[in-house]
Amino acid sequence: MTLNFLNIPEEIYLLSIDENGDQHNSLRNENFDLIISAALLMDLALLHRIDSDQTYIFTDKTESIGDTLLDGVLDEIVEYNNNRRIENWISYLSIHGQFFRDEIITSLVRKSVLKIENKKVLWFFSKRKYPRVDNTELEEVRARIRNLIFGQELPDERDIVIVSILYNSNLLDVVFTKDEVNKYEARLSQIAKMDFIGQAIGEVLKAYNLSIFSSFIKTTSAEEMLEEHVKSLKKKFRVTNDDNLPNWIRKGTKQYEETLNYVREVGTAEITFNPRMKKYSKINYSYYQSAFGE
Amino acid sequence: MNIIVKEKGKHLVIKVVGRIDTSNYEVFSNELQVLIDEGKKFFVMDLKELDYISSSGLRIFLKVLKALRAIEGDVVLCCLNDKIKSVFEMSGFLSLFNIADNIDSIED
Repeated sequence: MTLNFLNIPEEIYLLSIDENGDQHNSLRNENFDLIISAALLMDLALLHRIDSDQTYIFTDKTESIGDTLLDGVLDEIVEYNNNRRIENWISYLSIHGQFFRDEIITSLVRKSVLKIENKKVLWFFSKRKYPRVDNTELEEVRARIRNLIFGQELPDERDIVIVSILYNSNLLDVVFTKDEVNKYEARLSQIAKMDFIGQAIGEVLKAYNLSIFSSFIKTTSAEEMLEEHVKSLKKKFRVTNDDNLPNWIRKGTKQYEETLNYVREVGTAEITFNPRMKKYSKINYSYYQSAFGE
Repeated sequence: MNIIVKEKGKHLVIKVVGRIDTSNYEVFSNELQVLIDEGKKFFVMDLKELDYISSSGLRIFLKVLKALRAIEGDVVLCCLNDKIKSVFEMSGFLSLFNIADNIDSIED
């Protein structure tokens, strides 16, 4: 099978952004990382690099594809050299989420589908168009999926993958109106089932969002959130004596109170403090390492 | 995997024995393609002794169905055992095909 102009993650990304390049609300978080991980696996399956059944992923051909993202994931799967459950691969790969996002945008800019202007990602052409490739107009993926669902044609395997991701990730609204989703629910559901990795993403997202919700329920006060965060930092940097903690996270200091106030203000304990600038900000792991002298 | 082919009127009964998995789905695909290239249009897939099918195997069934319906042919799934029927059902593929309980019920 020849490489398509866009890989599946790129198509999903394009579906998830509006005319101004802004991303769908429900994707501005780690959900996107999980969805893209699944999309990468599904693309590898279409390219016969992996196979699956209802439970596991298996390696198939291992030759390089010539796509940075896909080859990177393929290398990891080949190196693992053992069967792993689909949902575990999705979760595991999602730790590379930021890298995936950056690579997708870089690639789409290189392919002149998107452009960067004043640090904003925009469509290259003003009306959600793809450039011509070899004098062929590429039908935009949204139009293609709509035609599939509204018709009775047997689905193409690539479109099965797209529909499966959208359906199982609750993203149908990027292509269909609510009324259309209701009207064509049976066809959407039937096609969405046709990919086992797509089915798995639904379960993974449910479990992930439940765990986020649970941790939110467990630690709602600023004190609890900050305590949990300090605990994880102490574990990460192997600090056993609280006297070795910086003032801003050492209980009993005046600055600890200021830290608490900041946590209350931003609603999260995933923060850091720059002692030189005397400024709090959202998390920056590279700073933590220098704060502990590592 | 073994494939045993018999003619039954206008239909070609293709009995698949064993597994369709990562190691042999291409062989399965190639064998079916040869039959299509020979002009056969009506396949009956006897899956009674099929033990396992992976996603790649399922895609081949879809590919063959598309190819044959495009030339006014068709694929019938026959004699599905419970395990394989469940896989086709859970994957949504079952509803794409005509289904027969046994070979005798298929008209020549």
